[in-house]
Amino acid sequence: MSASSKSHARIGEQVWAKMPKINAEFFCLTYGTMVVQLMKDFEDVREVNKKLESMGHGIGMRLIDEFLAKSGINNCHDFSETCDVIAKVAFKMFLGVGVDVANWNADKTACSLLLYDNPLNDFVEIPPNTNLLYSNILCGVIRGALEMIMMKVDAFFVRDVLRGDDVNEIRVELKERMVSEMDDQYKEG
Amino acid sequence: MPDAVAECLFEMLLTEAVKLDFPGEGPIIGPSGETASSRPELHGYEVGYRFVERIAQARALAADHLEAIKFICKDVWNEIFGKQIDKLQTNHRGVFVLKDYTFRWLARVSSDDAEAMKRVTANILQFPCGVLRGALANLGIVATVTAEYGTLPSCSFSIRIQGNDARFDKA
Repeated sequence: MSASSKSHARIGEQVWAKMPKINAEFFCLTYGTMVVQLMKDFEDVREVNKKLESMGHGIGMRLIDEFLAKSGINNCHDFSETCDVIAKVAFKMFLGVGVDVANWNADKTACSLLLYDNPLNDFVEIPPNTNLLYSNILCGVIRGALEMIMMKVDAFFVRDVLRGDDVNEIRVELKERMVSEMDDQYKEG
Repeated sequence: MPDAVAECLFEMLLTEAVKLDFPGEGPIIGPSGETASSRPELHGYEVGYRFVERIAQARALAADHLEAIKFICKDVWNEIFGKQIDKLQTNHRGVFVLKDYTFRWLARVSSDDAEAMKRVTANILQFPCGVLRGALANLGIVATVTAEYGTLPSCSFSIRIQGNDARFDKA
């Protein structure tokens, strides 16, 4: 673990200790009941996955404010630092779990987040042979949060404990850095 | 596995879940056949029922309504919010009013538009109403629950007990 990664882990611990919290079981039941409801609403499980992702996107767009306000983290100087902060600070302060970053590509534009514990999975069993991505909301949260700080990413599950894998793995790929378009609007006015 | 998660996550999840309400689908009937007044209410009912199932496992069934309501005001509220209900009132004829002066799920609601704000608040409150109704149902009590709010984030829940299920009478 690099030096900065260690200090991120420490920040994560400190912020987590101060966060107002809610019973994890209650949270899991609320999420699970919602997924069950979506399964009934949509016949196609792919629609459920998509819906979960888009709900996560909505949450991520608001969660980034909470993150910046509470963590005191400023600009990251590259994408690999961003991913380390997501893993060590963000996951820790919101879900109370540590996450590892692994499997970087050569360009340092894509990596995997390895969740050994996924609090959403508590008490969950999914029917065999379904394509349900139970925790797909997490991918949406990551995409929504990074979009607000001008990074377009794809995030998707590649391994899921609920589907028989040994670890939960979310792949995060940087697609582009967005450019601020604010200036033009002001010029017109 | 941690036994808690950040509360802001829950509040945001609830806000998104409440938006899922699909209009025009007729009466809302849950998996076990009970009807609910809205989707968030049914959602809350399911959560409340199961949650109490887990935390009440080691307890004897409440001897009367007041004891059951007290269990909710103290134990259930404490598990969810880390605090008790601030004030409990009853007319001793099956109506209970639970007041929470700092109901945190409403703390984040904000909108420019007063009408929209009212709608969102009412929708969000459907969920805890359902939680209370589900919790009571698990304890063998059939009730209706409504919520009112004054100056946010203070609000009160009125429980009107309709009757008992067979299990309660045996106790």
